[in-house]
Amino acid sequence: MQERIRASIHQYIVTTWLSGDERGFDDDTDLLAAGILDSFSTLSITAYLDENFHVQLDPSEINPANLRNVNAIVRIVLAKLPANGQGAASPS
Amino acid sequence: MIRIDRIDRLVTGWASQAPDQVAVEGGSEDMTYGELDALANRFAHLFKAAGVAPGDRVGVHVPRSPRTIAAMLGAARAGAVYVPLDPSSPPARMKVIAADCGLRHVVIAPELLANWVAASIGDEIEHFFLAADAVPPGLSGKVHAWSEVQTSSADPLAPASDNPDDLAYLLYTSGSTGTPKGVMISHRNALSFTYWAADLISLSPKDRVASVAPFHFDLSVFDVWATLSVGATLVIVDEATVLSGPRMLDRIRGKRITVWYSVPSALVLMLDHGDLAARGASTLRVVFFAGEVFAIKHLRRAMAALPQARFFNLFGPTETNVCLAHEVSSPPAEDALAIPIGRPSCGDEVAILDERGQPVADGEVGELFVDGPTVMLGYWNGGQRVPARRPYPTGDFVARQSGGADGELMYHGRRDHMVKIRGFRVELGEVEAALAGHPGIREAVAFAVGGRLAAAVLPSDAELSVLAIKRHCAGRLPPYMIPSEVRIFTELPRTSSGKIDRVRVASILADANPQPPANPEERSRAL
Repeated sequence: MQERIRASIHQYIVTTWLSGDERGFDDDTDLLAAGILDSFSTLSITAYLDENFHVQLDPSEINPANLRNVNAIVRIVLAKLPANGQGAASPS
Repeated sequence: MIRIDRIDRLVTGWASQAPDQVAVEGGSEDMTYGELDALANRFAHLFKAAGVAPGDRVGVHVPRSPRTIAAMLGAARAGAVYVPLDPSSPPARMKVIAADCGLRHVVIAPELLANWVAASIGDEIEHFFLAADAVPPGLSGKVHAWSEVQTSSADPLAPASDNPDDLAYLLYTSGSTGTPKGVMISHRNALSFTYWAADLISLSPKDRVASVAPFHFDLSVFDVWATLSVGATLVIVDEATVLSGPRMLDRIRGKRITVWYSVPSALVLMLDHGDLAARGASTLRVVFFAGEVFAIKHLRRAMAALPQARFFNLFGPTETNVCLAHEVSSPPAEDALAIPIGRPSCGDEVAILDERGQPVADGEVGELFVDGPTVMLGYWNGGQRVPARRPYPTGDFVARQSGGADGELMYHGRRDHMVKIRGFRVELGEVEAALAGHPGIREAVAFAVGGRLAAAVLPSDAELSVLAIKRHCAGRLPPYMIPSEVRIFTELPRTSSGKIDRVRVASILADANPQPPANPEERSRAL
């Protein structure tokens, strides 16, 4: 489950914000310094998490620390998923 | 000093003073001032015999050569208006231009005549050949063979007019609407610029000026008419050579070119592929550049490669000719974002106005308005002359550096390059300058595509990744100015004048723009 979420978010960011060019990008890449994370992409990322994982972030959780890189996003998604994965609509 | 104020009379004096001085060197033919003067008369007599009346338009649709210049000069001597046409232009565009300015006489290369026949405009026009005599099949219009030109009289003609405000030529530019617009330039407009430029660099008969720009592009006005006004030599460099860095540099060195005027791209080509940095070009004493922004890092390379040359940034749309100039007296700092476009030139006056037509304060951005001797007469519009607005609104945004009226102007982009991204005003030129500051990027252009900012990048380093480009932008631009979409190209389409063809790049980006999948189902499939 965790690997699937990680791969999904990774792919989404590469496709949407890096024109599909994966070179140099990994799950520790700082999205803010990479010019990817701003107010607009933050909205887009939170919408993506909602649509794909039914994870809704509280306004207080939408901050650079939680969205700094793919690993951080995966952590917040896992932390917010309903227990036992019930209701988590993994993309398939 | 009294100066000749009409193009048609420029060569006559030199033809009698220095008839054997070479006026134009072509690839296969050199022409002295004496020969050029005589051939121009032959053309003028033949044009008149063919019914060309003062004020009529004469198309010139041939690659650049000494004979082409004789034809333009001959048209002027017949009192006509010459219209340089882009040899690489598609027939449909030729048809629009021919109809717009009512062309009935065209000097044409036989190989290009097929295009006119294909566009079914060949028959209504009388054609004049500069070389071969063979008439292509399928043409019922009148054709004057090259032999007719050669046997026409070379006797001097009575001046068609004394008025320097007569129309001298039409330059068709691509209007933002996509319809070509005919810019009307008078003898005074053209020569106010060329004399100013010749004085600026003390152009003399010893100079050898490169002809790099196509004749339908206004940079060529300096090459041809400044050179011929001072009795210097014009050295024609064909298109294929211009597009090859190594051959271009060989030509400059072999032909001992002293003065060069081009878009920055042509210099960058020699730096990237022509070994300009290592070999240099010691005869080159003046480099004029115009037409697009010269990226600082490339300008620094060019100045390092040509330490003996003076560099000038010339500025002005076709409609005003060159109206501002800046001498780059020392290489700009590595981290400089731009160089000035300078101060008014050619006797022009400028104003920087806000949306309400009020002058802006120093340092504030406003639109550049120009008035003076180089501002066009107006647009030719289907036979109607539409006078230029004066002062002429250029559509360019500029700001005056502090220092009062003497401060130099800085360029802030085109009105039509200003886009809104998520409500923010974004000047595409600023994004492009930031991109070009990356050492791995050779050239870049930016656009708004579907409300998002997109950039097309030509890298000089094959390893350059989108991530690296975005990181670079993030260090220099506010978030809304970072291109969402960055596409790396191995080649960018160019216009016939060598500039990046923004329209074509934009359409490629719009067509191929991989928008994020619109809904979760599509996203799932994308996994």
